[in-house]
Amino acid sequence: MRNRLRELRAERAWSQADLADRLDVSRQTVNALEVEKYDPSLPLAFKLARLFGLPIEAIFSDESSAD
Amino acid sequence: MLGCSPSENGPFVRRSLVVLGVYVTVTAAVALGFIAKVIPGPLTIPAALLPIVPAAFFPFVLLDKLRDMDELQRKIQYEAMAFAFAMAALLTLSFGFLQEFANFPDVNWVWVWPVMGFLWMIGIVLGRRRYA
Repeated sequence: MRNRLRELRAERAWSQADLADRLDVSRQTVNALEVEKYDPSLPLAFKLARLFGLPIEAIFSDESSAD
Repeated sequence: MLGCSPSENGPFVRRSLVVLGVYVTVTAAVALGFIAKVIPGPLTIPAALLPIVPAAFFPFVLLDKLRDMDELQRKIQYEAMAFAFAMAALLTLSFGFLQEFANFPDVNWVWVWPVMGFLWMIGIVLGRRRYA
């Protein structure tokens, strides 16, 4: 799954650690999401959507990412 | 350890060290008791099993830590434990066959867990690399 997390985080000038704190996850998890090695659970995807004030489909797309 | 940052691991490491410290102390006391032959015959089995009492707290320390983890860390743990479980099965089966058919020596059962723990750590390293 593709996502715009790095771009959205950069727009807000947040570090990965800042985003991890806001989501209550580890920095490693934020990094794995950004590099598209890990797809979030639905609850975490909703949390991200709420945090960025965007619908989930504006952050994630179901186009597969290259591993 | 366990795929988390050092600060996130702090309470887990502290609690594990307490359990380990009590375990080592009790094991040393029991071993000394057996060496000095001061443990009466009827108490042999309870005394030999005494180190398990502090060790029995570790599963609860570990479960607390797993419940505190986020979803990716839990996934890494799940895959690491599956790796350790399967690899330990292969190793113990292999060694069992070697003992049966190739006269390999008897090995104390206490070594099974350190081997499994080592494989678990390898699984965590592999998992961290996979999702890095």
